[in-house]
Order: sequence, then structure tokens, then C-alpha cells
Amino acid sequence: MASDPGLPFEELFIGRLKLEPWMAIAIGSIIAGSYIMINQIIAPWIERKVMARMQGRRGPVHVGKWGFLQIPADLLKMIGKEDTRPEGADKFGFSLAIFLTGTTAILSFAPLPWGSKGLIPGNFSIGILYVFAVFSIFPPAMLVGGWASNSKYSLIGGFRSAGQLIAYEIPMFVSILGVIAVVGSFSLVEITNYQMNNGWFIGKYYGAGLIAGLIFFISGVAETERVPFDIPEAEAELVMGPRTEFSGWRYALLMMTEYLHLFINSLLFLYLFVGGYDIWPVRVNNSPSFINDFRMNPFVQFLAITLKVYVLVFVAAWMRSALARLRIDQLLSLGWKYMLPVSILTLVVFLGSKDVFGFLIFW
Amino acid sequence: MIPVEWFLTLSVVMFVGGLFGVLTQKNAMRILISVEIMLNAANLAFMAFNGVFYNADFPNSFSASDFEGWVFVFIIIGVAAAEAAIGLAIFLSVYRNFGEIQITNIFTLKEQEV
Amino acid sequence: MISFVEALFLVISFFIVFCIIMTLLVPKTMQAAYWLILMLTGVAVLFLLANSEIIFAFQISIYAGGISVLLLFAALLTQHEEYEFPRSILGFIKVTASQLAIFLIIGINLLILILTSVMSSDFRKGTSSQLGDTTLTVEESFFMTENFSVTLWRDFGMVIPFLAFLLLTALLGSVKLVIREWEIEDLSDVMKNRYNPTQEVQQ
Repeated sequence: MASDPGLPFEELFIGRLKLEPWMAIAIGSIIAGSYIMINQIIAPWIERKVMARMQGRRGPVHVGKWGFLQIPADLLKMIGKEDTRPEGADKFGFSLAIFLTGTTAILSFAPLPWGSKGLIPGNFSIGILYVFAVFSIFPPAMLVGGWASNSKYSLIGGFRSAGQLIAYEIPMFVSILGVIAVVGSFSLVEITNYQMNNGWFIGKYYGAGLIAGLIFFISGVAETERVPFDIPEAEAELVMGPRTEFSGWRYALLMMTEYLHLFINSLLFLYLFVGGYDIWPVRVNNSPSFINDFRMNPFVQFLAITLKVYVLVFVAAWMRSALARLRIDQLLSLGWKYMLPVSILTLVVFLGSKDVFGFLIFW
Repeated sequence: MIPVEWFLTLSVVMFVGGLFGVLTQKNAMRILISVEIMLNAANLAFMAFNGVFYNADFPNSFSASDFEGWVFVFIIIGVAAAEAAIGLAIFLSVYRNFGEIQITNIFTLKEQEV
Repeated sequence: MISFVEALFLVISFFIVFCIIMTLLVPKTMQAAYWLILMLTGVAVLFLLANSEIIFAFQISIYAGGISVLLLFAALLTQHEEYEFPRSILGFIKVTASQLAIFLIIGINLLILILTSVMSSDFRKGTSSQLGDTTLTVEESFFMTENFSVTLWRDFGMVIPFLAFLLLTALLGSVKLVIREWEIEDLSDVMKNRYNPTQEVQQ
């Protein structure tokens, strides 16, 4: 059975302000959505700054303190630009690609918890499956957008975006299968609770958790089409991949979805392997103590998950400045020859450890 | 509660639309698309009937027979995935040999042109 | 008075019917494929209204995410004769009037057949419609998904191996079909010109 996380800000909204439950849920969702929107403006700035420092440059400096307002300024500039559409473009498909990518990226955040006390827009029974389902609309949408742009770069980029799907999707699903089977639930709340009680998955099962986590992270990087797997958006060969012909607010929306995808990938990695909003990788004992109260505080959990996400944003920027792009056949052989067998092995170790060596778990 | 008749009416409309596409279109791709529409109509009817035949005290207790419709939909979705993969392979193979996938122009098995 | 879920159902069903009409009417096969994606997402929402979260996830991830990619690839890798039907609905009706009449008769017959059986008192006796139930709590929806999984593995245990072998056969068979070696002499004239190696050398 599900452990009901309750409603967002239950003490404040329902206890003191006497609001209806649906109003509390709506306000909580609006807060979570605004928080994501603000973060996806800060993340590109951090990425540009980190990349610039790694390459011996200074990065954005002019707008605001340390160039902090560079991204909002760019956003305003892009929204003010003329909305151009290439001649011969398929009108409906050109718009459909943008709307599908934008809405699915925002919808993916629905079952992600931001704290244990109901800081979650919707606690579905299919949590993680829902995220993957909504996320999987992105490659066909990019293929439609690439075809509708009436440009060879866009079309080849769209083909690569959909073809890359074959390489990463199966290792990704197999690597999380062990976690889901051990917890016995798709819900991210349940998975995080299990890790708070039994230790984080990344350090369990004799290293199998670490390997499964790495496979999931690598497949996630391929899914979000970031370096070193930015094969669809190879700027040296295809100008900008399927995004080539989109300009103005459409380009702004596409860049927004790119960073939203980075967040989704990072958050899923955190929830599945690194304990989600948990701050401390040891088991909870039920005795009331300062450290347990500190750990169960929703605000501390909120800050913890934010901090963890920004560590992964830093890692993404690091990878972007350090690694070179793989070819599509290298990605395919990585996915099918190495990651898939290894992820099946980790699945076997997960299930075997749970059933046979359950009493020998680490931590 | 949504009446089950509404689901079934929509299912019939979808099914007849798909059947119309299958029997009148000449492009093999569009025929496959129409077949997908018909499969979805069947799925919808399965889900509607499953929603009607729950046992009396529905949300509180379940039995295996409450999910038969879901299992059928699951099988149909899996079969549709296999069918689409085979369809893509056959289309590419036919296209390689004939240069098009208009089914009216592919008559190697017939003795003469139509 | 029409309730919220009923209004939602009506909106989505009109959207689905509109998408089906567009898949039949649009001039290009690629456009038909992406209208199909929209229709599949609409059907997924109807599954959600029928209390099934997990079938919603299957529908979106397998149909709208997997099968649609295959269909888009098939549409892009082959050549089509476009403009099969007139674009406007009036022209469409004028050209296909007799066929439309036949299918209308089939549809009305099917509808009467199903609705009379569903609305009969024998059918009504042992049933209670739970479609679009908005009173389900979080625990109950978790319980339903869990029970579906248990049912699938315990009472319908052969479904998963059956689907696994079917998909494996489909995968291997389609790979075998596509990577088959072929002789240029066996092809038709159109494709012979396309694959002619001498032209590639000249370029």
C-alpha cells in the first residue's frame, strides 16, 4: 500500500488558513512549477560560467552582478524577435514539435517529490513509468519538427535523435528494473522512503548499485542529448540539428526544454540511486533525536535536493567542456555491447542480494 | 461517472473510421495507420467493458477478474508494437524492390496488370 | 447537468474524431503519422478516465513513443504519391460518397447492435459503471496498479513470455528483412537507376 505523503504545506494551508485540499494542491503545484522555472534560468548561467572558467575565460560578466541576469536578458531578446518560419515548412508540424516538447518537458515534473511532507504535485502509482512515458514523446516530436522545417540539417538531426533512442532506452530501463523490483513500487515517494530506511542504492549490493547508477546516468545523458552524446545536435556537421530552423521564442522554448530535460535526468538519478531528498546516507532509526528531526524537516529536504541537482548540473558542465562527441556507431556499440549485458548482471545481483543475502546488506 | 455507452459509441466511430481507411486507402503506410486506429478502438471497448464489470464493492476489494480487460489491452499493445516493427521492415523491403509502396501498383503475384 | 468528467470525455472524444478525420484527409503521409500520434495521446487520456494509470503509461510510452517513431521512419524512408484525397471535406464527400454511405450503414448497424445489448436490462442487472470515478484515493489507485501486476503474473502468467517471444521474433525477422543482401539486377528499373554504382562514381 502507498504511504500517503499528505498535502503540500498541510499545517499552514489547511491548519491555519483553512483552505480546501484542492486549493492546497494547486498552490503547491504552482510553487513547485515556479521553482523549476527559476532554476532553469539559473542553470544555464552556472553552466556557462563553469565552462568559461574551465576554458580560461570569464563567461558572461556584463548584465547584472557576475553576469547573473544574462539568461533573462537573452530570453527577453528572443521573445522580442520576429517569429520566422522557413519557406515550404509544414505549418502545423512546425508548431506541433515545439508544443509537444515544451508541454511534455513541464508535465514530466508532476510525480517528482521535493520533500517528504506532501511537496509533490501528484503522487501517482506509476510515478517513474509516467516520467519515462511522457519523456518518450520527445524523439518523435523532434523528428516531426526536423521534417517540418524543410531543411536537410533539421531532417538529419531528427533522424539521429530518433535513432539514438534505440541505443540508450533498453539499458536505461534494465538498470532501473532492479531498484523497482527491490522496492516493489513505481512511486518515487516510496523509492525515496525505502532508501531513507535502508541506505542509498548507489552504495548497496556489493557495487552493483553503483554500476547500475552509472549506466542510468550515461543513458540519461544520451537521452537528454548532451555532450558526449549530442549526436543529433552536432554543431560542426549539422548546424544545430533539429533545432536549426527554430528562431525567436521557439528557440527560447527549445533551450528551456533542454535544461528541463537536464533537470529531469538529474532528479531521476537522484531519486533512484542517491536517496532523493535524503541528506545523510545512513539508516533512519526511529528514536527522536536532533539528527532525525533535521533530516525529516521538509525545508532541509528541499534544500538538499536542490544542492544535489546543482552538483549534477556542475558535472554536466564539466562533461561538456571535457569530453568529445561519440559517433552513432560508437554509441550503439556502447549501449548494446557493454551497457545492456552489464545492466542485466546488476539486475541479477540486485535480486539475488535481496532474496539470498538480504541480511548482509551494506551500511 | 461516464456512461459506458459513450465509450462504446466513440469506439464504434473510431473502428468505422479505421475500417474506412483500411479499405479505401492505396498507400500501405496509411493502411497501417488505419489499422492502428482500429486497434485503439478495440482497446477502448475493452477498457470500457472492464470498467463496467467491477465487483460490487469496487474500490475496497479486487479480484483477478477485475483486470481481464487491462490484460487484453496489454497484449494488444504488445502485438501492435511487433506489428509496427514488421510493417516497417516489409515496407522498406517492398520499397527497395518496387520503388514505391502503393499497393495497387504491386502486382507481381498476379498474372497480368489490372 | 453534465459533470466535469463527462465534459472532459466529450472534449477528448471530439478531439480524437477530429484527429481520425485529419489522418484520412491530410495530403502527406508524414502528416497522417503525426495526427495519429495526437490521436494516440487522446486515447491514453481516455484510459486514464477509465481508472487505469498503468495502461495510460503503456499507451503513451509504447504507442506514442515507440510505434510512432517506427511509423515516422517508415513514412520518411519510403516515397509516396501524395494527394490521394481532395483536401477539403466537401470534395472528400463528393468523391467518396458511395463508400461513405456504405461505411455509415456499417457503423450505424454496429452502433445499434452494441447499444441495444448494453442498454438491455439483462446487461444492466449485474453491472455498476465505475468509469471516470473521481472519488478514488491515492491508496486505492496504488492498490489497483499493484493488483493488476499481481493478476498479470499469477493468473495470466503466459502473457509475458508470449509477448517476449513475439517481440523477439518480430525484432529478428525485421532485422533479417531489412539487412538482406540484394542484387541490383533483380530490382525494378526505378530502383536500378537509383542504386546504379556508375552514377555514384561520376558524382
